[in-house]
Amino acid sequence: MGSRQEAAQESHIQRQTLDDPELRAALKAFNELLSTSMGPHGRIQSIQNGVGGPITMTTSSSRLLSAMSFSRPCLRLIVSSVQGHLRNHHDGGVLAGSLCLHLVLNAVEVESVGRKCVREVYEVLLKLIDEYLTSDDCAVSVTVDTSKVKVMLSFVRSILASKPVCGLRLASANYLAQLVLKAFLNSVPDVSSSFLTDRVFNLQFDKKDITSSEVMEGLLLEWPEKSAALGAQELPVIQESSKNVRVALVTVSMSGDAEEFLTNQMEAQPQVVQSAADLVLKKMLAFCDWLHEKRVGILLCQKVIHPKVKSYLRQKGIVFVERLGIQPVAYIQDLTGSRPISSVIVPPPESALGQLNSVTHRVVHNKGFLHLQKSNSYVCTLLLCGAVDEQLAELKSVVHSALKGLYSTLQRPVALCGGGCWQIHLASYVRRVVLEREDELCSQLRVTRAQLAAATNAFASSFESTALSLLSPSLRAWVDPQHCHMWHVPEGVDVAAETTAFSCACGMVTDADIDTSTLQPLLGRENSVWRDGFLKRDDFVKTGCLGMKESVNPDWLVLDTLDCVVAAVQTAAMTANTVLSITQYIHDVN
Amino acid sequence: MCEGPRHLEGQQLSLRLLVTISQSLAGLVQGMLGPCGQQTLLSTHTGRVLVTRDGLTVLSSLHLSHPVARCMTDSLRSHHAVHGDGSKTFILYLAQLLKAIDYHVTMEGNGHCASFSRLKLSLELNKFLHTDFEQITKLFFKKLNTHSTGGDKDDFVWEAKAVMLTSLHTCLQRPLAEFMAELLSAFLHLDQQKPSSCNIQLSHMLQHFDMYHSKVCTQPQQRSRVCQGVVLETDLQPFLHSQTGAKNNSFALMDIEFDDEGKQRDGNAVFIKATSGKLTDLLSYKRNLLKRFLSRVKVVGVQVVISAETAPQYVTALCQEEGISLQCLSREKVSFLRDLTGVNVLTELNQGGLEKCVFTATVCSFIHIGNKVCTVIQPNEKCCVFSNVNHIVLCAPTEGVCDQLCQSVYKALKTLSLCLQSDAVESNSVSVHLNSSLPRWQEYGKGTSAMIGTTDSISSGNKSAETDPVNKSAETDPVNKSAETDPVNKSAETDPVNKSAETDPVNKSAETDPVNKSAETDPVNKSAETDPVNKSAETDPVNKSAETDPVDKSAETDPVDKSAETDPVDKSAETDPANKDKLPTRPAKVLHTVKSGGAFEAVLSTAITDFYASEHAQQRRGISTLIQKMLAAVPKTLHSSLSSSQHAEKRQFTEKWTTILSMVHRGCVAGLDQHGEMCSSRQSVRAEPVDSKVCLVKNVLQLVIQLLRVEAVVPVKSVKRLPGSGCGPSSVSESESNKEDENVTDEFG
Repeated sequence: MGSRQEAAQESHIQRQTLDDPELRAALKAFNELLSTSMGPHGRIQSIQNGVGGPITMTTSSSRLLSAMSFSRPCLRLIVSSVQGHLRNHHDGGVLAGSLCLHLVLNAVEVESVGRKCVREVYEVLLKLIDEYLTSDDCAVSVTVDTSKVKVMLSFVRSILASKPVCGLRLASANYLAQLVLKAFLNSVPDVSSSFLTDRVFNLQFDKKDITSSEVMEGLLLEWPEKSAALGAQELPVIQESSKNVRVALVTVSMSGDAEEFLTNQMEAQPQVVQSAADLVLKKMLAFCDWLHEKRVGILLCQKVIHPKVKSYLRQKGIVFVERLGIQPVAYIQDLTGSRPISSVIVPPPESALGQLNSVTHRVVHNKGFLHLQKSNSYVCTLLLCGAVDEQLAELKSVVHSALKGLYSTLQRPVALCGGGCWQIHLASYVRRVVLEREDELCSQLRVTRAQLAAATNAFASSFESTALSLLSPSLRAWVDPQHCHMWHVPEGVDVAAETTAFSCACGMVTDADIDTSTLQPLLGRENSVWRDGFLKRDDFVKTGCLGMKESVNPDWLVLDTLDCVVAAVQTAAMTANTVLSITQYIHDVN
Repeated sequence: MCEGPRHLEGQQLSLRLLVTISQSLAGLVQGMLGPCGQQTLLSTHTGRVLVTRDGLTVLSSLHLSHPVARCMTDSLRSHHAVHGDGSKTFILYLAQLLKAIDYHVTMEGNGHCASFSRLKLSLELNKFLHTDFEQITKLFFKKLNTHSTGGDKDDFVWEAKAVMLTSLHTCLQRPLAEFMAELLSAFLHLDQQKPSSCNIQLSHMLQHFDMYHSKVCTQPQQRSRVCQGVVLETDLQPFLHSQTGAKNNSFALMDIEFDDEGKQRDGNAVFIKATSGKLTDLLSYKRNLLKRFLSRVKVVGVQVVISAETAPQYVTALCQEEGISLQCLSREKVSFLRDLTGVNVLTELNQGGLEKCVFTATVCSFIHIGNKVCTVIQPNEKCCVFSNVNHIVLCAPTEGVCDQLCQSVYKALKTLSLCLQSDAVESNSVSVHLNSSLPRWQEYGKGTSAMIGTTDSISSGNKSAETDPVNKSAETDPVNKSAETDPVNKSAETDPVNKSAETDPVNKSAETDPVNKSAETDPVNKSAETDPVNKSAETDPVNKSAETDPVDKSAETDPVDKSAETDPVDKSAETDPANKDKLPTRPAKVLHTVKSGGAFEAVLSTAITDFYASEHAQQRRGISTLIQKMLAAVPKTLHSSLSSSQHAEKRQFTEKWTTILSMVHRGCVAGLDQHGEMCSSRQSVRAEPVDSKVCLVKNVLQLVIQLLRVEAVVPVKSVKRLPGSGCGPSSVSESESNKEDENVTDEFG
């Protein structure tokens, strides 16, 4: 903010910025950072600020971008777009960022074509891709049978395994995928209802092995009232005649400073002042009497409870939990059906009380908890364990992404062939369609064929580059001509006949489906022989949605969420177009 | 004794310096002009990033220190405050005009006569502005086929869409601009509204634009939509779920600070006696007060109370117990609902007249805007000023794009409002009880100095009604309204449009075709027997055979005799789906527009040429050259921006511009299309508000006149006050005061 005592300083202007070699170097460095973070073979990035603050180790875009600060406006623009995408989808941030940067850098390197022309071509191609991905004819989308557990586990595993910081081996990845799927299935309601939360409450425990994670039905609330050293103890709880336990949820402070009291200055004798304070306490104790009268077994308070009130509640045999915080309140409402009580001075309506089937004391990882359970409720608690803080933080983020992906797939049971296959396929599709509609596009966009080809190549190679980022260093990418899926072939293999690859990267296409001798290396495909022979095949577009064949092993499937990918591609292309249309930067130093 | 301000050395303000400053500013904005313009990224040191094409935003962010540059941007700001657009064109005109003047002065005189030449030019320009420009404007409107509709709603709708599309296309890509134009058309109910009511509603929308739209930053733009009704950013489903569609839901508005209720205002403490009853009453005062209020609310039948202040939880709980829903919205929303329905707002719990704070509405639906569930209500007809109130939801994948979309929509609506003028033929005037003042353009039309900024002519486009040839009374100028008539609450009796038909021989009435009439009275138009707009393909110089080159042919042959088998320019209309079947059927009257793409500049240039062709004006012909050079700046910039070739040559533009001028001279308004090629106005679907463009030219001329008279820039230091002197203004800078005290004493002691 500018000082009132000083005149505002003039802003700094920078023109023709994408031609600036420093900016290009910065874009390349950022692209390198994101590309190397992609996928299960991604390199863990370690971020620490210059004054020795905490170290963040991650490959997740949400944690990576929030830990870094960017001085260049262009990078800030890209980061804000990616963060906007993450707020909605919670996944695909690295894809969006990396693809955007590739699109920008490739466009800048195409010198024979003006940026305006490149932008227009990008727009047209984006529209093509959008329509293709969401159509029924898309050959790279997979119908997900949500009734098959193995398929769903593959889907979850694909998401969990993409974060190396989680430190998941095969067994632990399977175990965690099962837990996440179990939590998800517990949270899906049978009938359409309105809920305040996603019904999966997360608790984290550090310094524990990941295999100690578990899913519990109901809610687990930390309760230090009883010592955990003595283990789980018997908890006498007031119950109704139907053996249910009534619950009161209070969201105001019960320490005696309610906001509904008159806030005037008053003069009085000392004993009157004391009686005023006692009066407030009496009101709260009267509230406790009312709770007892209504056979309420447990009181849950978001804020603090007065010690005398606590003592009175113990006398009455009402179990209480204080200092809950805001986070569990919505979950409690979903679990118990209670409404928040916002005044303890007068008795609330009885309809504000909720119900539980049981309230028990549990000790989990040396901590005491109250376990609230209700039959036929859709709220569960996922206990995540991790050896170190970084692993735990990454697990929390990736589990959230997995749950979001599962919800999205449930609403629309279509996924994309992951592992880089959909990127390679889309690149080939774009090249093919442009070749077929060359004349039409040239007249529509008023460009020459060479310009159109150059811009299309820039667009398609961006997708290929993101697919190549998923490769392990010891592998090379090959492509099958029929389905245009990516195959991982060991380094050093030069002839397709020598490859021992038995399925493509996503696992949908196996060696039983194609002749592996027709595989071609991805890099070096500009040569005309490959191009002519490859692109003239008109099979792959017409296969439509891939079905689950018998030859496909669900354990090796890699699937990506369709909605997330479509949104990431749109964000990337639109942001790239915006960056390409910027010709000057003005930096306000005030 | 006080010392006056110290006079320091001023900086000579040469013409060259003026040109340099204006060229620098123009260099920043010219790349952003037009539908294919580039963008500028603004960033602050706090990390905020904004991508924009708005000229004023870019120039304001520069924090210019040079006084002349600030003067230019202040003038621009004043223009923008009224018209909402035209910043880039303003700067381009200014830069080009100063450049032309510099060239003229350099060619005409030597160095020591430069100041005299400047003064002379300034006087000439002043004379031009106050005498010739009026006549030129009349010629201009005579030449121009301004399309505004009369009773045919299709024309009005089409033209309104064209105006909005033009404005949107300067900020958005074409497919999105077309989509948004359609959406805005539905938003404004253009096909069901009369132009006058549309104008009134549009003014209200612009004033409360934040209330008429919502932003969703996580969805593609194509999911933007229009909801019928007023959107309340709260979920009323638990309270009104069974009453969707019922017309008698009662809402009350209040703006009460609950924490202040019952508080003593005088600050004195209350002495409490030792009776617990009294104590209990005092402690329960707020609650009891609220209970009494709620019982009154129940009696009146209110189901939902909308509060501008956040209510404490006990208030919400009490309301729920009484079966009343208390919803906390923003103060702006409450003011908006008050304006829309005309009800009062409760400011105290004890306040009487609760019935006057209640309105009824139909709950239309519950919609998701982003992650929020919102309620859409439609105030009942008796309660609402407008019969149809709509809300637009603007979606974009990112926050920055969403903000851009929002800005471009606002601009489009503002541009449309500038083009509209009320149709005085209609008998029903819409009476409104809005608390809003007139839209800015109508205030400007009054000729008052009500604009933001100074009243100094250097920084404002203010002109009194007597001297402003455009903002004349309705009897002589049908374009703008007089200061006496209120275009918002126009009655059926005053009809400046029709009146002008009797008093103004140049401009025509609503029923007659101004272009055809001009063909009889205008000696300049050679093709006087034919209507240049409704010319058949045979006489239109643009409609040539496919084999001939339209550029070369126009120079050699008589376009009247040209037979037209095919038209290479018209051909584009067949292949370009945007231009298909979009020709107006008859001249328009309500919307004052001109086709974009340089058509305004071409017609004005031609009008200037025609005016100075007559003998009596030939002595001021030099000025006309300057103005015409100024006008050519915008189409030239557009041409380089729109042309598909990477390096659009200057020669290509000169050829096209010459052809366009000759076409206009022959009565066919033409300009550049979205590819930088020539097209006639019939083929163009882009339109801009013509009055704003005329005002823009005037404002630029006024600014240049003032700048030419400025000789030097003198910075003024703060005045130092002697201790105990009691006279003189301002404070003393601390670092100087002690040191200079002695000097002053020596000087005056």
